[in-house]
Amino acid sequence: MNEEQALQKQPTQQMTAALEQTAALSPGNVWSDKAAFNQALRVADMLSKSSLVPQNYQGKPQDCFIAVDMAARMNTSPIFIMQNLYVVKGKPSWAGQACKAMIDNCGKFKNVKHVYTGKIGTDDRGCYITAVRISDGEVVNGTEVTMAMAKAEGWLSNTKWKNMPEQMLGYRAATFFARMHCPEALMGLQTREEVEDTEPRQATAADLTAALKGE
Amino acid sequence: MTEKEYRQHPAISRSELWAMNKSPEYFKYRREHPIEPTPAMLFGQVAHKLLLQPEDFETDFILAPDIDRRTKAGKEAWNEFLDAAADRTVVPADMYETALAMSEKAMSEPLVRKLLAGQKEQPFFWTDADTGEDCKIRTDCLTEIGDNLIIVDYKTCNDASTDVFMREAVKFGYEFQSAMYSEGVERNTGRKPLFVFIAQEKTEPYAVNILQADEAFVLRGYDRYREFLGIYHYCRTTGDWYGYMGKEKILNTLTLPSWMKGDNE
Repeated sequence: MNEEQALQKQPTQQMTAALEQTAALSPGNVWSDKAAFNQALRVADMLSKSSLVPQNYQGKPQDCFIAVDMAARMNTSPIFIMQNLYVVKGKPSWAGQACKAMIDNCGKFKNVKHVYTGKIGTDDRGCYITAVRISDGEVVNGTEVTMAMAKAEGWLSNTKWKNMPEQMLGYRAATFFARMHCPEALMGLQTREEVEDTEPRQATAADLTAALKGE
Repeated sequence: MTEKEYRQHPAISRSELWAMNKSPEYFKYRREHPIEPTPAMLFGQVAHKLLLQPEDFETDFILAPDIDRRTKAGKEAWNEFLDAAADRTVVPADMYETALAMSEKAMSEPLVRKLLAGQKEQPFFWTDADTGEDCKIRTDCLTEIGDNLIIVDYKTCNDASTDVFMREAVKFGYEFQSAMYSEGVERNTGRKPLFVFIAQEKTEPYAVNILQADEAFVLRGYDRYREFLGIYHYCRTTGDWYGYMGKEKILNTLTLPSWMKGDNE
């Protein structure tokens, strides 16, 4: 192996080492155990130098540290956290699709499924999550989200509800289920869609230009 | 509501509140001693009027005639003119020509015409929920485009390029203005407006730039609006219009600006 290849290989090895080290961190103790803190710091520092982590984490060991800590608490990989945690309106928020994964991974439920109801394209169209609780085998249903609810709550000002309602119903159903049956899985954070729906994104200069030009 | 009635309304305006950026002492002085309009300020007023409400120009302004005031006849003619002008503001002819050329140039831009198609010079009043202070604003233009309610504000400037205008905007408190105006419109209409500046250079070719205030811009302005209104409330209720040394009258530290600090380290 020449020098160049060796250099290229380095980040991958570092990443593997980082993930192994993260798995060894036990929840909570990075804030109280000096050795665990230092180790997480090294992992975060290394991750921040990788070009494989999402761009908004590159060069930001502080943000990577938070992701490492959250990953340890949630028994998942920091990469999952980084790929699914966004800052929306100044608030850290989960990607909608991550919510279902978090319900799957929290260890309390099995057979987690989306159930769609009503006729597609009408206000009656809805979605809820159904799952089997592992502890007692009971079937547990989340609150149903419908288009009528989205309208009444004013979420439709977020254009995604107009353009891809089925997807948005699915994301919201997962969030509702998690809020009700495993709130700890979301670690107190909102999902991106919740933040955007309640505080709609402001039209940008590009949006406004299009509106002015009547496009 | 006429311009005069608006100005005499006791609620606090944006330009008054902006004086808090210096100190409450300065704010109080300015309130008691309003600035006599400078030629630059008059030019701004004339340019606004010609762009926004040219049909009303003669209600507030009158064009100075070409009279040689060094002769006796000229002096008499000038005095007659001033009597006829009454409380209208006299505008020098060259100033008028420039402002007119600017408005023609601005209106030749289709996006400007669309932005200025709304309601002109509309006053809004509200009582701030936190402090109970009465506030007022008057928007240059309020326009509906698609789903958006847009506050349009016209600024004349020396350089309308985006980078330079950004720096000037922070210096003159346009972020504070965008926030206070957005607050006023939202309180009155229940809708969150967007804020757009039409910036135009005062020299040929009277170049125009249209800039939309982004969320970070308005948010920073909102912090300043809350801060100034809070200080105003404190001063008004306590009667303490403090200066640069603050309420507690403490000495300030003189240090180096942050960009120089690294030099000795």
